[in-house]
Amino acid sequence: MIIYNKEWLNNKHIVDLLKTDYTAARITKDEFIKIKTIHPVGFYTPGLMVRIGLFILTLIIAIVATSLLVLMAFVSVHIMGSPGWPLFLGIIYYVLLEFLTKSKHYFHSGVDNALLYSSAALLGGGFIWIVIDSHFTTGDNLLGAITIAILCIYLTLRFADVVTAAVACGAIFACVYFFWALIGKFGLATMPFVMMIAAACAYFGFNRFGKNAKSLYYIDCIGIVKLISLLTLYAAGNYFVVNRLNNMLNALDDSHTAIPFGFIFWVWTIALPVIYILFGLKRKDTMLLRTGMVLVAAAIATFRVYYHLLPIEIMLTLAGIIILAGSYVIISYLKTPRHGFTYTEPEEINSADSLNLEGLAIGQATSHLPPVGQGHAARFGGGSGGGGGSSDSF
Amino acid sequence: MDNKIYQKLHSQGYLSDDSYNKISQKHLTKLFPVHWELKTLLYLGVMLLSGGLGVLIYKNIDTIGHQAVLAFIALISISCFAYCFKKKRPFTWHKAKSPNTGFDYILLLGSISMVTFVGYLQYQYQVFGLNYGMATFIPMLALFFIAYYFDHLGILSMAIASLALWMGVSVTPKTLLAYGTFNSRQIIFTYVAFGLILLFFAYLTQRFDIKKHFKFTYHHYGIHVTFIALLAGYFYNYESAANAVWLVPFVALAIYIYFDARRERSFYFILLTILYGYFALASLITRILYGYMKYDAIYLLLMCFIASAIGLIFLLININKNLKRDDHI
Repeated sequence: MIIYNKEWLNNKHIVDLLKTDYTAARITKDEFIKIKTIHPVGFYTPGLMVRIGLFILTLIIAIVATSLLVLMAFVSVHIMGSPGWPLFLGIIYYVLLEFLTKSKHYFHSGVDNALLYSSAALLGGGFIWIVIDSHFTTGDNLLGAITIAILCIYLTLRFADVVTAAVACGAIFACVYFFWALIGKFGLATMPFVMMIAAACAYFGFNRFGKNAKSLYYIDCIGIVKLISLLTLYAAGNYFVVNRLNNMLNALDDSHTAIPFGFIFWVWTIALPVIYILFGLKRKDTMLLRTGMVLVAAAIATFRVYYHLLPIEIMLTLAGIIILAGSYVIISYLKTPRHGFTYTEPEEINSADSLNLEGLAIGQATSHLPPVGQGHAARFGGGSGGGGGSSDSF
Repeated sequence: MDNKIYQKLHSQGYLSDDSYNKISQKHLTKLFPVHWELKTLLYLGVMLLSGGLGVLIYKNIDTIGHQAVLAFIALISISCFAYCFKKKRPFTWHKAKSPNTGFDYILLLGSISMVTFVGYLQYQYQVFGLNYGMATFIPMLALFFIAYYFDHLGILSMAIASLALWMGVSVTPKTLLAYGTFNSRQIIFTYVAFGLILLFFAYLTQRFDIKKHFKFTYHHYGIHVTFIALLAGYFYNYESAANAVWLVPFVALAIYIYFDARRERSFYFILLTILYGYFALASLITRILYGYMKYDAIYLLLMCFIASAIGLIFLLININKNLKRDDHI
């Protein structure tokens, strides 16, 4: 199913694995070079910057070529007025993508990414167009979601791309939602629970599948699917989301804040992030831990929508003090590694570090400090002035 | 799954016993690094605390009084700098490692509160009177000094931003303040001068080996500002044919940056040059073709875009091949 040379994919996995050992000085340079030469990887995957450049340029070409074809076909309007037109263009891009990937051995090189997304967007748009054109009375949402899901699953299996995997996952959850909504009143009332079950099944299923040797080629795709499942699992039971969705479906305005079984959803809103963090620490799973940390903020925000216990500034100050004190204690506790946790920096060399992203971010954030002088008029503007408009015109 | 790979490599003799032991030791102990998480929490804590305190002071300014607030900010700043002077490593003209994790954040807090202090002083008491140039010049000098003395890239970015502020203020002190009525051409020339100064700093940094790792920051800001300012100059007076003169320094700069980046093997800057250059070229072609053929030009124009973009893709791939031996960024 997958388009890439499987032997090269296996070799790539081995070389990537050993590379971390090499940068951490667990193996010698000679060993690494020897292993690299007997495990050849013939893919064309340049560095990050080149990939970005190739992606932008290919996208420009795709857009310009599409508009050129549209202009040429403009003479015969009846071609363009039908869904066949985007489908036709999408197929052209897809054929080009297959051809280039096979002949040039592109592997997520920027060129193939851009072609993949263009053809997916055109094909998906064409199918949705067909669905809309057929004027179903019910179930057109479901049909649209199913088509997108099938398209993206196929593309993910063929090209192991993270973005199509994410879209496929979202489309499948949308399928579940629309399918259950077809049942009627009962379906809408039990929707949160159905979505929770679907998301939990997806997470555990892919978690198990990720440990299987067969999943090796799709490791990144499985990662993104797990992440989306975790977020959906939380959102399905979040009090705010359930409340607003309930109001929307029953045509109530947002002054209604009570929902049936509200207690369950409050427990879910507050407890699930904590559970994520605890399991993340227990299983030593970075994704669970970080998702949990982000969702704690979501839980606090949800709580504040409904209850105002403290004025915001006192809450911010208190939270800041607690977080600072807490992290200081943990850092000094972990100076020497304990219970399998350590505060030392991970040994994998992060390419973002070499870009000085942190320094640039500080410059970006602090350039909005209260300017010396009379108000904001004195600001020089840090480079987003006249040129910003001109580059948009392209 | 990964263990099998190691075992296979070991049994085939590609991994020595020594290396294999090191690897299996690592997999036995398997430490879980929480470095990133804790650092994010630290950063978040600083943000929340300073935001909360800021609002708290703002709401209670009548009862606290300006002097007390100023004294408080000064106290934070001074204690941060006192800590940094005590803990710092000896000064060097090369890259200096910070003594501990907290150091960089404390230095940052000290610098931000220093800038806030000067700004507050000027806003409330007009210490520098109407001499805004002076009011921005002093914090700028201080920031550059701190950035070099303690070797902090974030503060260098702050210093560059305040250099821009100072130049913007001192070029047109009065018109800049009267919101929106400033002379555009003057601003563009200021931008160009600012960008060129940054590029010159980058050159000096490299040439005399003064904190060589600062070059990236200077170069990054300098290239964006100069290219955008030159393009803005080109589009500012689009009707007159003479404005094409703006593209001459543009091309010269692009050539300089391209060769500098090739020597440095920095793909980020090569990419920037190519994309900015492509944009300038595209707008020039559009203009020429439109001038000759009016609306009939559109087919030719689109084909030109496609052809030039394909050409650039081959160029990028080719440069990549030549530099591949050790491309970093």
